Amino acid sequence: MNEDKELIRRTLSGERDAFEMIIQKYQRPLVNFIARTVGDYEQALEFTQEVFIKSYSSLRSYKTHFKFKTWLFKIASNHIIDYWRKKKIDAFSIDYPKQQDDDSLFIQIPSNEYPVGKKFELEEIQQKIEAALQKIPAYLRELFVWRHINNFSYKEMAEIKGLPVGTVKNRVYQAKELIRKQLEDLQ
Amino acid sequence: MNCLRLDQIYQFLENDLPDPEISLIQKHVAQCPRCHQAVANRQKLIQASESLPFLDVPSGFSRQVMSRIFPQTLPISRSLITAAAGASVIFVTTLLIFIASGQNLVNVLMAMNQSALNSLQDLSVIFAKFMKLALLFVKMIIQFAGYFVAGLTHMTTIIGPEFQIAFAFITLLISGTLFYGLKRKFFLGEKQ
Repeated sequence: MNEDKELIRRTLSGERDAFEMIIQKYQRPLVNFIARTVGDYEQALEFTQEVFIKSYSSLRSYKTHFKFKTWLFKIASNHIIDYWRKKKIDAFSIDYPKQQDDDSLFIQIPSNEYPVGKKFELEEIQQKIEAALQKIPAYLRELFVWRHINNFSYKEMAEIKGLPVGTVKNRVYQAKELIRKQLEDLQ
Repeated sequence: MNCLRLDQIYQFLENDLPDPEISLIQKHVAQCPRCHQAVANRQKLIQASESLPFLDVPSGFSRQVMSRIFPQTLPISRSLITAAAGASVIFVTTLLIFIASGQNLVNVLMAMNQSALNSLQDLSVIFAKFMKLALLFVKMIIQFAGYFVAGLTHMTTIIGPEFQIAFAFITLLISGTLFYGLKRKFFLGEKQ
């Protein structure tokens, strides 16, 4: 993390190469997060560029006591939400009740549960997961992507979203349950 | 132990529980086929999710972003800028001489069209007038410098040496501050 702070310091003192190093470090994690969240690779590339431009122009407002990674992904998350708002896509309504209780996971295992991927190979399960991801609510999708594709800790995710760690954990569990249910329906 | 709750299963799979609880769950899962199946299902889902392919970024992506942040400008050398500025000054001065000499600019342009010789003559006149003006300007500068030196010499006889040093120091300070301020304003701290 000190490496990030050093690169930021150098960028602010006028070294353009330092910011290019930041881009090279974070371009893949950002593209993966955005592509999985918006479900469009080409759009993800465009959004990633815009996120880097936004982060460069507001670099002076970055507070060094925060992790640069969480600051950058917060910009990315807000950028996607702004896009959905402009396009009038309700990020909370995709096949999911708005007032879902975060405690809904404190329930027993469903009685008629089928084995996941009984009929599918790993690659096929992955394809089904990618498809299922697009059918779950966006606010759960981004947490799922951060956790299982970007390998973020719950603490980092809580920092980005400004939510308690417990709430983030429950939402990730909800996302996984919804994906599992989607896979079950496909069998 | 009762059958597991979903949140317990996920915490168990992520090693997010205290050791005694993990042992209890392991014992229960070994005995309960329903919980065993539930844990296996979610474990498979997590494994598949975590091995999802990490998408690549096209080569030259960072360069592309950099070119959007810093749009390319044509590299213009200082000497070229100086030459262009000099040419502009000569052009404006020539125009002013034309106006001051009372000649009709349209007539002059038309005359330039008449023949190359006439144009050359006009240009020679313009050049001569310009040189005269430049000479006058230099004379004026020399005269001004003379007055300035005379004034300064006179001042040194009135003002004591300590005040002279203080005055020179203040002048230097003001000049330095102005220079530094202008440098910051126009160069914005960006190095190539």
